[in-house]
Amino acid sequence: MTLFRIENLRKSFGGLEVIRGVSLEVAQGQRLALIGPNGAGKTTVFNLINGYYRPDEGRILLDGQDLVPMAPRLRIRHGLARSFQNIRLIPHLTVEENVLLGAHIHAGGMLAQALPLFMGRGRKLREQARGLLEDAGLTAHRGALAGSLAYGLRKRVEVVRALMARPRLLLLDEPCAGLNTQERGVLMEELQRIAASGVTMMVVEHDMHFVGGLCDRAIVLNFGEKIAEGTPAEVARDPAVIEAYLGHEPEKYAHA
Amino acid sequence: MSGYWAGILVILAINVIAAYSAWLPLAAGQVNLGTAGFMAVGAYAGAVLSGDYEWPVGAAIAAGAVASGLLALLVGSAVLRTRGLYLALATLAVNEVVRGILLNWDAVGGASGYPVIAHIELLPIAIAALCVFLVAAWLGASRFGMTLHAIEQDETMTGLFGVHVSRVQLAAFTIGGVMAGLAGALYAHHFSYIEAQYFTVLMSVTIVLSVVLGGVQTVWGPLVGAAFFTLLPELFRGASNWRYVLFAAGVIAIMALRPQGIVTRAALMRLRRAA
Repeated sequence: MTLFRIENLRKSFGGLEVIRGVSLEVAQGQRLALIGPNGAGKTTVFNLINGYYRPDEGRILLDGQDLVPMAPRLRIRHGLARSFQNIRLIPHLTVEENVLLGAHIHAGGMLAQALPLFMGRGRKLREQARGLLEDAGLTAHRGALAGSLAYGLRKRVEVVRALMARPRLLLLDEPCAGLNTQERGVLMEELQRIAASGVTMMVVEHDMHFVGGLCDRAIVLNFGEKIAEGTPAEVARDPAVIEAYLGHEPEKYAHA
Repeated sequence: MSGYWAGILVILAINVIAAYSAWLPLAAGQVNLGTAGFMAVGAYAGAVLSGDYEWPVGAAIAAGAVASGLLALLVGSAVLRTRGLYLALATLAVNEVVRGILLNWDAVGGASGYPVIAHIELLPIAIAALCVFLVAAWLGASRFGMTLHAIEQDETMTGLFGVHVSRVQLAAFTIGGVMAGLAGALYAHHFSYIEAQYFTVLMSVTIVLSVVLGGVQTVWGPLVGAAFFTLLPELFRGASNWRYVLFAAGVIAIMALRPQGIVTRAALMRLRRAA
């Protein structure tokens, strides 16, 4: 069953067309990787999906509902949550508070939000946040200020925050950029665990090893166009993909 | 208690309320340089109701706070579209418009000011300041308070998590307006005489500065900032004309040493761990 579909998406900045008629589908429970060289338009696609930019053309359908005319802040209510490439936590709030922000759509109206965080509905959300932090092995850092955490930990907190929204589609923008090998391994296990719980994911990532371990399908963008699609292993062998990354087919290097 | 100290404490209590009125929008990253204008609205509305209309003092003061809050709601709906320096400039203009109207409005005395007959002493003012602190602490511990900090840090990201950013900002600005009106109405009924010239932009700037100096990250910052701005010049009184030089040097030293303000969240957590 298709959960998420993009139809003929186009976006220009000035005279430059950066997304040129991209279409894609993500099935329920699938993990789709969006890869491509720098400047291919991967993050722009994410920004179009969550409404930071408005597409010039095309439709973005989540469970049949077109997100394009919808205000960005309403999209999370339809099950769309994301993490950011450059970490965007609130440094002077605790890890737990940052994670609670992710559950904003479940926090009730203005009056419920005026209650202290440990009362009413907030109490249940706090228990939920503590549960997710425990699952992610972050309990020890719960009360620490987000700004005081190591980079790798902050990256994982971002994922937990997005999960608090109970998303149907989770967008991860370069989840392992800047992480060392060990941190990548921890994040991979965590994302595999989240994937196993049935969350559908779309991942922008450069690390093909990581993509191969997490995603079941990959789409390759180059200059705003889809140039390949298949399993991560298939696209990695695709001559068009290799040319996009290296500029030449490997044979030509061999003869050089 | 000597009259001198009672007078200082009254000013401290009023400054604390004014500081919290500026803190709420400031926590969400909005610099309101119109606080003194909103205080003037509260002062004049309260004074006219208790004087000309003979309302009980408590009701008149409450009405002054509500009047200022309504103005904040109205002004906020219009000017909160602007950001950063432009918002500061817009609120500064509001301050001047309010002052200009009061200065030229003969029914409230115009340039010669307005005498207030009803009088309140330190105790009710101190209780009001305590209540404002408790409300601020309550809001600070709520999701509303948390979203204010999130908006200050990253408006776009906060919006993507479903927060209605402009509505939260308007709420903070309006509650701040109510508090400013309360501070003004209390001032009017203690000092028995108000004039438009008193509620200057410089006063608004000083209130914002006191909050920034105290720190916007926690509910304790405005309290510390207001106390610093009220009490330090008094401590230096022995130095007569040099006291403002000493005070200014103190402000500069603190901003250099603690750019996030005296009270930060990290400092509070360190204190708690040490205790």
